[in-house]
Amino acid sequence: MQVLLIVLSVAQGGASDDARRRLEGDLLAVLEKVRASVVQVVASFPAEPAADAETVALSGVVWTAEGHVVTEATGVERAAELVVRSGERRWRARFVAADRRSGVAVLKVEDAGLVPAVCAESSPREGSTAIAVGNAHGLPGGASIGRVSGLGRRLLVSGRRFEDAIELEAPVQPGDAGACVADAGGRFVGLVQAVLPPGAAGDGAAFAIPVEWVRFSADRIVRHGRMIRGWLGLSAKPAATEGAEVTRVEPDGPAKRAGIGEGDVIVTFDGEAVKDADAFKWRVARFEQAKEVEVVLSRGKERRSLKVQVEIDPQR
Amino acid sequence: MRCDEVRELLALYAGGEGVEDDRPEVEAHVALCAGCARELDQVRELRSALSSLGTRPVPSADSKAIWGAVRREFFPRPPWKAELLRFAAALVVGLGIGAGGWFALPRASSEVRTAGQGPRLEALPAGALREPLRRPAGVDRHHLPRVEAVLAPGERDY
Repeated sequence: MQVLLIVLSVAQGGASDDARRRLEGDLLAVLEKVRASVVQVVASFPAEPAADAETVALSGVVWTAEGHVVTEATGVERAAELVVRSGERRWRARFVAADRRSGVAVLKVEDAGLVPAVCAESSPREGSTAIAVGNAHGLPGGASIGRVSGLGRRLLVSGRRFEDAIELEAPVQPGDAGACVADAGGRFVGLVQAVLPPGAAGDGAAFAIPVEWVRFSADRIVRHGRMIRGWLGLSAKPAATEGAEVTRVEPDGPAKRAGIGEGDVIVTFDGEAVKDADAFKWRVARFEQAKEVEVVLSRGKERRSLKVQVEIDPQR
Repeated sequence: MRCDEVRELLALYAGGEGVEDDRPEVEAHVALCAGCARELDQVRELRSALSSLGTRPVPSADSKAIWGAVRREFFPRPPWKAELLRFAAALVVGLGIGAGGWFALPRASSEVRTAGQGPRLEALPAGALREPLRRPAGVDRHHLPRVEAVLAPGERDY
């Protein structure tokens, strides 16, 4: 009996070692797959009245086989010169456009040899594995592994509001803006955007733009050469019963011109009921040209129908 | 103004000091940025707390007596046996490290080398052993924006 127990424990230990070796092998294979689509972006900014000239390095993810690269927008907007690096290769890059609502920018290099990232179909789940691969401190292909600790975060970064951010527990470092966040299968689920500073509650937590918004912004920019998305010029929150309650109206936006005010509840938009704030956001964003639509809103006890001209987002 | 620039001025602003030209910009930024507004409140609270601290007279005993009492409180002299054991342990560890280093170091070859024989030893370039993570030439900063605030859920922009 004792010999049997010893044999079983040795076999179990051996099986555990095999499992660990397989796990490590799988992980290394995933890292190699993700690294093939991660590049370094170097942006040079000229001197301005309020700032010195400087050169900034960050990360990017190859989006198309034709040479489009997605990265974090504030690191490359207004750059005078852009260079993309992968291994020993270097390319001059052209800034195509950025979507200031999502924080995604698209660059273009003239090369047919880059490997585009494989995208996940949807956002990751809370608690799932997150692998961040970037160029922390200029060291190419640096990787960190952690977990997705939250979804749907709203952030204030560089004076702008961003929505739907993925919160990660994987450590990221300067240079990782625009890095690839992948799931355990090596699929692209997010683009690193920002980090909580030291000393803040939850410091070290990182945030990424979810792949749905990266895909939406990057595909539109690649197709049109600029960001095109619908815009109403208002903010709203889910109403207590149905619809979206308007919390803020921009002074020179389409909602203001149509007569929509704070406190109004948008019940239907373009013939469909507004039941879900996320779905409503996509419905507005998907417009590719200006269009007049009918909006039914609830104001106090009365219902009113208005015509609103959905416009193309001015990207202010 | 960016948040990092405003934060450097908050302490002066809270005390009514600083450059007069900066005050409108600081005020405008704090009115919009929840993170900096919170930090300004904290600076003001700290200033208020410090200003309420009073002073007390120092005992008349001379400083030597005071420091002697402090030293005895925080660094009590151990019993003589404990000190002897501690010394002996340090001596053994030191001898062990020294012996290990003696055997690990490569021995000088007894072979006589003449000019032109053996491998050429070239000096490493200056600075090669320092700063392994030095930034590549031409890069001033590695980019990663900082979150100024995590906002409450619910509201969306359309």
